[in-house]
Amino acid sequence: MDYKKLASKLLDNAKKAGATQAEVYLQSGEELEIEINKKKMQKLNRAAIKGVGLRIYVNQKMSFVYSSDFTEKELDKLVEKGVALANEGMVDKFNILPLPSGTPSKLDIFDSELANIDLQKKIDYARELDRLVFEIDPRVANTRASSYYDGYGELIIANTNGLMHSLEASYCSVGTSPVIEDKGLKQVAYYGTAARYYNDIPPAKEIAEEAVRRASLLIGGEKVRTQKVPIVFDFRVGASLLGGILSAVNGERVFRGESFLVDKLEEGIASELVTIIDDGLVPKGMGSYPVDDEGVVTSTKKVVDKGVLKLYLYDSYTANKVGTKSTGNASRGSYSSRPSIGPTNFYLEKGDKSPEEIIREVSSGFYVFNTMGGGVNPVTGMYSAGAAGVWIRNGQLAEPVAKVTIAASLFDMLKGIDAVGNDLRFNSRVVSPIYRVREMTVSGR
Amino acid sequence: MKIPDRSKKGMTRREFVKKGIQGGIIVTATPVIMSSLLSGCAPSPVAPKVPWQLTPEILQKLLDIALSKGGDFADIYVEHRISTQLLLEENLIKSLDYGVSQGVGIRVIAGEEVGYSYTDDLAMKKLEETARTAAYIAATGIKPSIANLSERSVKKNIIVEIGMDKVIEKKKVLLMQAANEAARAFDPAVKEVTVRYSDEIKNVIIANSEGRLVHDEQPLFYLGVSALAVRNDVRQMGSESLSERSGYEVFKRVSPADLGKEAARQAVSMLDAREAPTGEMPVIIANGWGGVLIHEAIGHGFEGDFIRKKTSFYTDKVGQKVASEKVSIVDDGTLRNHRGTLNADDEGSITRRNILIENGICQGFLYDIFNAGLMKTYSTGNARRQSFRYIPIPRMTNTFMLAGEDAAEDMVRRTRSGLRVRKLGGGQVDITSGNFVFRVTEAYMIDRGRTTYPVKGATLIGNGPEVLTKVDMVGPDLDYGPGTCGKDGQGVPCDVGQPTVRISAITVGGTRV
Repeated sequence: MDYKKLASKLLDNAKKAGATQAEVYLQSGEELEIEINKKKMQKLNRAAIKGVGLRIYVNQKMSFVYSSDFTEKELDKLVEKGVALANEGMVDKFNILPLPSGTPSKLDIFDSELANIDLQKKIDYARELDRLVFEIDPRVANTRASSYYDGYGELIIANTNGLMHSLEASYCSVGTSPVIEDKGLKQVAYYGTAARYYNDIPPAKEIAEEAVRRASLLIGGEKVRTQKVPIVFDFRVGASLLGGILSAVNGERVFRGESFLVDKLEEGIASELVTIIDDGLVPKGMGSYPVDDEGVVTSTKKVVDKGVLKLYLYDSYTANKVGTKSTGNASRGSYSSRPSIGPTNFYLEKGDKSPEEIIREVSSGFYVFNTMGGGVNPVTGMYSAGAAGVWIRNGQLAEPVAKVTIAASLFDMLKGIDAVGNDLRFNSRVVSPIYRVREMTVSGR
Repeated sequence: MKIPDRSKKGMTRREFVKKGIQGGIIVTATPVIMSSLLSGCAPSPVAPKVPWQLTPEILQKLLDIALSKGGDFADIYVEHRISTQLLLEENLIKSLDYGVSQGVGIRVIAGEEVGYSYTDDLAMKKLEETARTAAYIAATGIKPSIANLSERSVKKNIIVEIGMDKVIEKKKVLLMQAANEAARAFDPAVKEVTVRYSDEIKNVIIANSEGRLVHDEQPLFYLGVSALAVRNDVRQMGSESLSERSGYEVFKRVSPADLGKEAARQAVSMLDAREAPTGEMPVIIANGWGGVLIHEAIGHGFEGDFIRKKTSFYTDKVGQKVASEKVSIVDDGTLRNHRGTLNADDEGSITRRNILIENGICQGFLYDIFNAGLMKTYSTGNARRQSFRYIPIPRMTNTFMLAGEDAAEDMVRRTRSGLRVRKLGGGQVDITSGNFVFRVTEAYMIDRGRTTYPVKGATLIGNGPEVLTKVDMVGPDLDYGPGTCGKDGQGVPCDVGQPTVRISAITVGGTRV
């Protein structure tokens, strides 16, 4: 089926049915999930996905309807329902759809070969990954699962302002969660990665070794006494903290006053080592797309520049409300949800120190591998989370630590960042290198 | 294993898939009543023309294809879901959302292996292809016997007078406005209020190779309020929600204004909060939503998949003392109209009341067909799935601690110094170690037996099995709270619950050393 034609037709039908403006977001694709546990296929799932979501406006009253049935009769009903619902809504004078503007970049985000790679080859990858974790360390008693996932598809975004974009994208992701048992203790750790292209997935051995290394570093973790020490954030934990900043620079939150970064533009909020970027154009980035989820061309933006807050992120609606331009950050969970504000590739720019150097400089501190629960409260600007990791003593990794919490105000944390690592990888939408915070409270015994 | 914050997106490693898997399908003006799809059932008067022809004969044929390459068991899950969502922000109804999704998932089990495939395209050709994909994992080539489907009636735990799907949008908007106005009127410090309303009606058909055929209807609604209070550049949010498998009649009993007031009260009362303390201390946790701690830190460890893989602390613990004698914990999928209640679970097994811990002794676990089969036991009616796009896994329904006899006031009076938690936020647990972390959203210090000032930014951290042994007082005031439980990337509605309890020592993580 020609989905561009279908999108145009839906827009025409919406207008005929009484819509003053309309937008189509149409997806189709395939997904594959393989999970192996102890040589057994714990899960094999293949499916095709398609669906369309319509934002429909009648005199700035909005509705949103969605469907995955593309038969003419059902799509006609969908449009009618959308117009009827919009009529029941309230006028919001800031409702707006973007105009066509700018030229979308050509990005390497679609592996056209992915669909042709034999299913058995993908199953074999997951099998090898699962086999290797047992082979690497005899203490590995089980895995939660060793997985291979991929997906690819096509996306059309069009609106009645004449905007029409179509793009193709793909991803592969692999990971494993070995469970180590030793002297009555159990420890699980997850490690995995993702890429746009099948050939960029690292060898299974690399994933297996890192997952086992993490589990063996953490096994037997105990509480330490309550104290204030330097904290080193591993890249994944660092990214989750960055996710909290992302919420706080969400223009909608800021407009509503639900962010601790309200009225902080051009102010120093972090140490000079901190530059945070939202970049839709990172080569092969997992968050790279030529346009955002309402068709606005993406770009590279500094959100925090050497510690100074420079930018809040906007979609078209919130930008219009604030009297500014969209930053190309409209984002949707799927065709069945309306856009809200989200990241492209959101990351802490890498620094110049290797992870080893950052650890070596700590005489007594805590290298955090996992956090649980809690996290950033974007409203109050407080951070607290359960943490597990390894104690650093005289620049060396020493004993495992668990069942403690770390907490601080985000301003104190951001201003206290005194080292940023050089190990940044774009294998997720929000990514971070390793970094170190001068001092935080560790609560334990 | 977490009850997620709304603000957090799911698993990043499956970014692109996330964009596809939540979706839905066609739009019809009125709900489809699936019973009319099954031969022998009279069409309901409100049923419109149904787009599918999934008769028992067709289901039987699909089961036949699914097991054509071998395997032990196959089942088919047919789902049709209509949902409505309304959003009120900044005093405006911002959007009215509506969607209908339908699809079919087919599963084949061969020993410990599971093949699964789903389709949202219900053409016969696609359905057959889906069954063949699910069969991929089976390789014996020996087709097992397949029983003839015979329909099984289910006991009704969900009884609705006026279904939300029959209530016009304007009435729903009035409920939301009442909540919004009450929250704003509570205190001038309340600056922003968001009200979310959603309802859905899900119809399912479940058929399996053992001859089971069940159809059921699962209504659900949600009304949630969040309020932001601001004073002197201090910001706090409060939230309150109501969610049941009830109809509009629930508003004879519960007032939306009360939800609004409660959200505002939480936000305003925390404006004066001081920094939270740090260290081990006695903690009193309020009844109702506080039960999320039991759900996360204990409940997940009773799920049959973790038991089978021996990754749970409670593996092989039946008959052993695992908690203080004051502790009895139950998972009950039959509570009338509760959010976690079902008539039949997502494999068509009848839900029931399952005792997990009785007076401190471990009694048993929660199973689906797959894990129960491998453990040589029976399903406890705990198989659940987010939608036809996911395989069913063992999950909780409504999980709660039974009431005791210690009054809440006594608990405070008998605590020299500690923390009184009125509201917990979200939390997370590592099943393997049992370690958990919870965010505290509303709490007060207890000083010499009296409740004093509020504190902010605290987390509770501990080990589930260990904490259960430290429950030293249990109140009579059992209550429940609605949540969405996440596991393996699937969210399902559930209720948590508990009376007021005191834990003699738990680590509080704050910023004040």
